[in-house]
Amino acid sequence: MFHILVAVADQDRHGYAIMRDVAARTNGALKLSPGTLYGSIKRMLEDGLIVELSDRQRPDEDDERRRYYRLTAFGRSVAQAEATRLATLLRQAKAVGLAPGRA
Amino acid sequence: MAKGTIGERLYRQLLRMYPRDFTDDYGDEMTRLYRDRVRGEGAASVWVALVGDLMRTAPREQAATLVQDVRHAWRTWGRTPILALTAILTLAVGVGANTAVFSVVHGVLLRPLPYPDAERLVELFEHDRRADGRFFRVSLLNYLSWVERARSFDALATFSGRDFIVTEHGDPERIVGSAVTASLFTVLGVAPIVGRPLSEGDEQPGAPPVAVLADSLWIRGFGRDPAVVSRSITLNGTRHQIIGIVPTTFREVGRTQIGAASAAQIFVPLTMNTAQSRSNHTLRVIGRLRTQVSLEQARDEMQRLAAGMAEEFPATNRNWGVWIERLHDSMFEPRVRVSLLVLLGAVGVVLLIACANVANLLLARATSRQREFALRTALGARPARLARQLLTESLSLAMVSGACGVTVAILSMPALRTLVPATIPRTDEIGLDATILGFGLLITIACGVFFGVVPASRAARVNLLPALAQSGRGILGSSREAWRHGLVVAQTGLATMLVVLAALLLQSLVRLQHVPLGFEPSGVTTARLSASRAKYPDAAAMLAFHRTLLGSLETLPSVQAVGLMTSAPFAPGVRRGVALRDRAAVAAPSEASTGAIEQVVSADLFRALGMKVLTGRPFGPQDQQGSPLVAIVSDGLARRLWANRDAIGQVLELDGRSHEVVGVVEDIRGSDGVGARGGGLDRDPAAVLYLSSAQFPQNPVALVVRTDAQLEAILPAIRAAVREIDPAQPVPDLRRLDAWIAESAAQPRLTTTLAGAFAVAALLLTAVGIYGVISYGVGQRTQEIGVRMAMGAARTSVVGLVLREGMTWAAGGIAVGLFGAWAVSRAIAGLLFDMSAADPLTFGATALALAGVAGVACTVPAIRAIRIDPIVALRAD
Repeated sequence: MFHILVAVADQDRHGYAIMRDVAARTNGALKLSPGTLYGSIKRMLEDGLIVELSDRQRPDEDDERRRYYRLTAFGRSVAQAEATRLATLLRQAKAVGLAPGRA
Repeated sequence: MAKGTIGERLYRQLLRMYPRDFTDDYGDEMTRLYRDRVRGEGAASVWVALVGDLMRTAPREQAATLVQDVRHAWRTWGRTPILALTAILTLAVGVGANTAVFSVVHGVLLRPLPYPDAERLVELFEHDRRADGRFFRVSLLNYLSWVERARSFDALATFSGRDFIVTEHGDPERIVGSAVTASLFTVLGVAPIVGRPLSEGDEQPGAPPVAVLADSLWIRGFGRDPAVVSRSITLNGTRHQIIGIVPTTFREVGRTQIGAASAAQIFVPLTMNTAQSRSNHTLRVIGRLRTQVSLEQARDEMQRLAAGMAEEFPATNRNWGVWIERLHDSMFEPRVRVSLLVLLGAVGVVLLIACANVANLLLARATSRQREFALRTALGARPARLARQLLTESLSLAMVSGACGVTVAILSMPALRTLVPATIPRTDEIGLDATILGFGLLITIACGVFFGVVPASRAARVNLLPALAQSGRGILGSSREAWRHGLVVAQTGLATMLVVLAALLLQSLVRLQHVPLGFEPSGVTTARLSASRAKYPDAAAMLAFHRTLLGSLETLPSVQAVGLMTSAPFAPGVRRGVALRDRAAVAAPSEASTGAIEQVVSADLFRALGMKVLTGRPFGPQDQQGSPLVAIVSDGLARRLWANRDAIGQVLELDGRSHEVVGVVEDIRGSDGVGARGGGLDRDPAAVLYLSSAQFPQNPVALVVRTDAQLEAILPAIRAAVREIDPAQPVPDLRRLDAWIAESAAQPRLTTTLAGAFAVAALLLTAVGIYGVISYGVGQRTQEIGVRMAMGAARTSVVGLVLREGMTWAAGGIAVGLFGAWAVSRAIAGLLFDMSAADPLTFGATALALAGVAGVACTVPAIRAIRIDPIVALRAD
């Protein structure tokens, strides 16, 4: 879910774009399957972390109506909180030598 | 958009595994995704990943939707908590009662016997062709001939009841047991849980005395001592080495009498006393059929065998046949089986009526939610979605009710085991198992679907415009009314059937309890006396003991008469069958031996029991050891042997002896007790031959004491008198004869009581149902009624309007119900004693009763109707 939040953080994306973005950023390690992807999207929509954009963003790119998703303010703060939490963990891990790099 | 490739079309199809809502939202997206990926990565790798994805996420999404639906369902129920609670309670009672009854029927009747390959187990009876199809026990010599000659069985075994006096701790105790052949263990296929079974070596004369105990006795008497095999037990004064312990299931087979209240707990080897007569029928015989042999083939073989033996032993076997039945069937009297199934049907009917009520409730509720559904449909909800939601609501309700009901049923199982009369075998096999849980689940789901389907299908087809535009009045009035009226008809019909059933059973029970017995039971106490053979080794000693005892008891104040007999009517005891013949008839070859129950009685026994001596005399002081052998016959036996001729002076031959008939006594009931055709109040009196106890002292015997009517103090006095003469002798089964008679009617009494309870429940539920429907109808037609009254209609005509509607439907239901009741009553005709199943009085009275109930149920809404203020009604919307 965090990955999806990251994927729509900088720009609005549609489903396939999110999938590719996540795959690219994790170097192919995490490949979201359609079921997982849209299941998560559905739940994140219900929780208000993202919104669906009904109008075409890039009419020049597609001739079909795709659904684009955008991060909400709430979603942004949730992502930021999660990022902070991970950073704290990473710092602690670095301090005891569990992670590469020094604190 | 282009049609797409085959792969794409296939993917679209597979997407249907997801919930419809999900695919509505994301189906197009996912298909596009698929297209993109195939373009990017190639079909093969995409499909490989896809299959796993589908398997994982589709169920997850379905579950999420289900959870959402259930949450929504409970929120909706929360808006009408009283209705929900009423429905849950009604259903819980219905499901619980059904599960409870089913658990009894399943444990006792449906489950196969707990022995390997139990369908191969059979019981064999001897059959006197002249004795109206009565079955008798088997004589030892006949059994041995069968073992020698029969080819249809893997093994045969025989056993006979024994009373054992056990004096391990303090007071002597009587424990019921059985003398068995070692082959019993082979036939049943049961291995002892400790030690070894009986072997043929133990049966040999002179072998050391051994005993096998039931594990209930092991626990109670020996504290589950694992070293019990090294211990011994004193039975009737002789020390027996305990060689093994058998599981509880063994006990049922050891019941010496079908319907006996006690099952055997001690098993000793049967001593083969081949010096006895071939006409001495005392044993039960069971066998295991060979795998290739069918029951029919075995029956044929045994008939032929019996015919051959009739030729070979004409004196004892002529006209005697053999009958075989599956052990599972012979364990139960046919009426027990029918009764249990009838109860299961009756409780099922109660559940149906309850479901109809809940269905009506939900129909009314669905009607009032029409605007909600219309709105949701206008906003884009699919009808199927609405229908599914309604179904989820009803199923959630049903599941909660079902869970409550089944839980209560499970908790009540220990109580059930004690409530079921002891005369029904296998009651300790009533317990929880997967089948019972499955049954509970099944009827719960069936109920949920039943009363969910109709409102759901109605909601799905809601007509938008009228529903949104109009007021809360019922729109689809006609078709919904049809459903409701249909339910009223069904409820009334079912209730009618149950009431007829209960009424028939009640009448039958009353007749049963007033059947003439042939003797006078009030004031009679009986007990069984089983003297130790060691103490009274011969006839003279036994005779002396009996004389002393009778003399002592006669002197007790308020004792009017004392007697002895082989077994008291309706009380547990040995019922020995004998084959006898009229000496005068030997000349005519067509005359053959006939069977009768043998009772050895003391001189005063007829007086003690209150039996009339019809002709001749009872036994008296002139009948002693050494005087000419005499006999007294029952009226039925006299008529069978000599029709209208005088029985006095005739001579009977049995066991190679000649007896002169000196008297004829009244037939009595309660003397039977063989196999599955056991005696009871509903059995015709058996033919009985009475011999004098002075000439043939018996052991064990039944003591019969007549006193003033309700004297309870006599019981300890009897016990004291026996103890004074022989302190080592227990006095088991000391009880008023009335109590034994009542116990023999315990099972029909329970069946009737339960059927009555179910009928009352059905009536109440139906009344509530009719009230609900009519009341709702009045509510719907408030305006119409208001108009009528404003136009000057008399109040009576309004009442008549309401009543007419309700009673018409009820009458329809009653008519259908009477027809159904007639059909059902033919099925239970076997349960009814001395009455016809198609009793017009019963049917008529039931119809009236149901009409009355329906009338009352309609009256309340009718009264409400005439209270309607026309102005308010017309103004209301």
